[in-house]
Amino acid sequence: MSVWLWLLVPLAPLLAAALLVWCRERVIGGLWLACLPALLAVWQAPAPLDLAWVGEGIRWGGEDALTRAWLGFTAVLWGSAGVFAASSQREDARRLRFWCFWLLALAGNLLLIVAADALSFYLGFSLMSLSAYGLIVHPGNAEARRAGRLYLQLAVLGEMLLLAGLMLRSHAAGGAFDFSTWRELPVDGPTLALLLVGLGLKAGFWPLHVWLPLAHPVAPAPASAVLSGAMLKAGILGLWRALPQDDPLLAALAQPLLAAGLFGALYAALLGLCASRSKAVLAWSSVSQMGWLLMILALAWRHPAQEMLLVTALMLFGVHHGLAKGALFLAAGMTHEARLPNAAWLLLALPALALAGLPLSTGGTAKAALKAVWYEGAFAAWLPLLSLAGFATSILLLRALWLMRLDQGQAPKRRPPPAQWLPWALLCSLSLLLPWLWPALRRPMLEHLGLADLWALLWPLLLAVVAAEIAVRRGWRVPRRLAGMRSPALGLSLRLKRLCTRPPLPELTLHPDRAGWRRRERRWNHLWRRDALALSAWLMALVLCLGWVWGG
Amino acid sequence: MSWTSLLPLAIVLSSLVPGLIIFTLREEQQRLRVTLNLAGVALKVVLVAAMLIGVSDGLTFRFSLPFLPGAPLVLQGDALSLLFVTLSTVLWLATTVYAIGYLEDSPLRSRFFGYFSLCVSATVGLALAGNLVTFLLFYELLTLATFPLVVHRGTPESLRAGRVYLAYTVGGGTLVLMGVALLHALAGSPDFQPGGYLDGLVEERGPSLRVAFALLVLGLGVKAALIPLHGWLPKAMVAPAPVSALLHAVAVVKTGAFGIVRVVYDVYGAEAMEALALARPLLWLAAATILFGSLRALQQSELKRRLAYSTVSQVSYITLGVALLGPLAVVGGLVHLAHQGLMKVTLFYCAGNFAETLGVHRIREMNGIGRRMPLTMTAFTVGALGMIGVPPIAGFISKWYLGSGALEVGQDWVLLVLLGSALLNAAYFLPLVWRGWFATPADWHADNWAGERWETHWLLLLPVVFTALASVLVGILAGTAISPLGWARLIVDREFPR
Repeated sequence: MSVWLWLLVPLAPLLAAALLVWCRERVIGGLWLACLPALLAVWQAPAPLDLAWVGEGIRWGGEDALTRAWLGFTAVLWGSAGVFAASSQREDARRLRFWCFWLLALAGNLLLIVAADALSFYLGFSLMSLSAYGLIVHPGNAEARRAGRLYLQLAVLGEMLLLAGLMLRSHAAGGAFDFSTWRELPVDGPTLALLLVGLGLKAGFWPLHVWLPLAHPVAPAPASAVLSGAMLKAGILGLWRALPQDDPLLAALAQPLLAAGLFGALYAALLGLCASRSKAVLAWSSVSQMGWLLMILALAWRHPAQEMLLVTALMLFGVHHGLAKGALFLAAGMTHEARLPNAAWLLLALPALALAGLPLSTGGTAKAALKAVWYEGAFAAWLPLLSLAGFATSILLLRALWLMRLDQGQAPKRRPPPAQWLPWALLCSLSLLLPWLWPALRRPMLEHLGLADLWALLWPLLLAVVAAEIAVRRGWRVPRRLAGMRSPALGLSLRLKRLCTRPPLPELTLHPDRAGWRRRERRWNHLWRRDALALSAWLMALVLCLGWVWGG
Repeated sequence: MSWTSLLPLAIVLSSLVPGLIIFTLREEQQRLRVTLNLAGVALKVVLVAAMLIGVSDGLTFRFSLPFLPGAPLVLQGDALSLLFVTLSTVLWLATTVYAIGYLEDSPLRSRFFGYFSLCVSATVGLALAGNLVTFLLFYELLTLATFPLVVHRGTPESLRAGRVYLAYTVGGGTLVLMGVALLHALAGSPDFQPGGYLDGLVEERGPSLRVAFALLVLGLGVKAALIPLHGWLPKAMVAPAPVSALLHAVAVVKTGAFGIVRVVYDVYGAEAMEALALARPLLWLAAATILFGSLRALQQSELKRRLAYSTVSQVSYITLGVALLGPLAVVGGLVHLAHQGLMKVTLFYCAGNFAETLGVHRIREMNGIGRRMPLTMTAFTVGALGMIGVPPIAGFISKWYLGSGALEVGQDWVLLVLLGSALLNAAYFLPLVWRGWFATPADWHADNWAGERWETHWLLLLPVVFTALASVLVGILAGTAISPLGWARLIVDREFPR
């Protein structure tokens, strides 16, 4: 019976959406409950559900740690953000539309995690991508519309490339589309390129990130939280699921990918420092963190033997970033609307410090686990660069905290309602509590408590604190030219839209010029002095004769 | 005569007889006319259901009547014809209901519904036609039956469109006639058979077979709107919405595509197509039409015209699938016959609802229409996303099979065509969806419902919801045997044994 729980995981949000359409505003307060089946499925871990009656090879659910962890943090994040949104969007005139898109995106996100086959994954993926558009443009201002347009253009492009990649992969697998077969199947160049770009456009690592720093900050805070925390990870999960474990092509590509990830982590941090709004800084930090996840993937492809350790690192990093980034986005929303008590700032610093790699937190543990594997691999010489990336992340998050602090000055003088700070506080505290609660994190945390490990994690953080202190003391500002920089992608997106509205194209059709035809026919008839037979009839007779001669 | 031979005839007559009676009715005999219409539909649904069960159990249905020397009139129910018959019946049912609501107070309803029934009879007859001569007969009948529907409004514009329509279709019909005559001279007119009946002639009569094929495809291509023969389609948009819906989803455009399927697989057969090197040009033509139709759709500022060009593009998916000559691709093409029908009919009903309820014809008038007509706009969104190929809507299934089929026969470039078309579809459909849901509405949208229970007449709403739901359901349940996909697989298993 509990097998059917898997069916309920993505269907619960859809049922909730139906309920919303039926009962309107009354049910909004309870919509976060749509995440409960997912949590229950994580808890119980029932056997996968075979949906062969819907289509050969369709399977939902998985008992492996990766699926459960991914589903768990996604459900917790969506649930907390849902409680938050029920309070923060209360005054919103178009909240019904917001919640419709919210639930659809949630259903898609949960489905793509429980999907054990490519078709279900693609279904969840497109449902989530398209519905997320509704969340991004929800504020309805020009900035949101522009960002939304770019998002949608790239999302649709990404989906098409992904679909092509999935078709090629399924063709190579002889028509099979379940991930377990694909994990054993070598991949060829074009397929890999399509999958990397198609899924990478969703994951938003450098250089496919152009939409992300524009789209994530404009959405309402809870929507940004799930966009950055949960939805981005779909691309990474898809890459992990659709590509083989052990493949020479992937191994050969690991180095450039690793370099791209590392460069992205540094580059995004640098550009993020120039942003002047807390949510924009957080969005850039997401680009940077996606670079880290890409590095883990590349490392796993390079060292198939270490797969177990690296999948753990991937899982820990995904969980950690999802929860911490979600908490920070919620905080960025709250600091705009209300004044936080001073004690709350301690709580707020937790996810930021976790992202910066504070020992004993989720982030520190995940990074320590990654470094341990990295140290033994082929790229050990790159480790200093990793510390540099850690430093960049730390300083970026300090900048975000600083901007939030500045926001507080302008915020109305009132306390945030409990329906907002409670879910937020839950997410924040998980950054510190999760390593103690979750055995998968507890073991690496306890393993990496040596002084050398602690120091390796701490020094970039301390350095960043010192650098930030200097910057604040000296009153350094971002140069105006850098702060006002606009993404060139927006201009291109507008040009594309214009091109699509008025494509330069000739009319290509036969316009039968009746008058001219009739005139020619008359002349012809005149020529033949046979008024009874028109030209058309002659033509027909001619063709029939031709056929007869050939056939004859 | 046993019931298996009378059933095909009964299916044709079940709409022909009510149609003929309706012609004799006076304008105010509304109730009788509706009853006759619905009784005809109901009877046809039952008969088609019986035939579906029969065919899936392996029965054969064949009705034959002496007609021309060497070419009897044959009506035959096989798996392929039933796909089209079922589609026509289901959509006729929906469109009849829609048309009753749409034309509630307009003049000349008897004439309209009379020709409407004739048109469906011709379509069903064409689907059941067992040889080329019978096919040709119904093909021409269809042209004649649809003309009065296109010019129904009687305005100068619609008369002009009617003339263009007639010029194209009669011209196309002539070409088909020549092709059929040529083939008849070469091989007689035996029944359609899987694998074709021309294999023996390929060596000796290669050139004539090629000429005949070109004539047939050009003639059928007029109705299937292959470029450059598509010019009539956007012009015929002046017809009332139910007519456009039927024209685009089933009656005219699909008969062209269906005819191409018949000619390629049941007259020539895959082997002869290969031997005569005929498939490749058809494939290129289909691919070009797909991209061209989408590009032209982008340029249109009127909703129905945009939908018309979208049809040009989407119907060629069927031709594309057929011309690829691989089993998976044929499944994709055949299933798109049904899927495109469902989705396109939904879109046209929606366009009709917008025009009828709010007077919205142009795309920029659609701003914020989702608030005023949420159900219609939801259905429109389903149809539009389905056309793009977003799962789980029906269009995705077609695209998946067409793409896999292209890879199967090694024509990888077709994948690019499919993806390019999907991107273009997104480029011309998503702005409409955006306007409907996100744009700031015009003033008139502010007055809500105005005391009505539904957003528009319930007879207009019911078919929209039905076809939109059906488009989603056939996508979700595609893996089951009763779905169009299941049936298309059955056809391919049965008709094109490997």
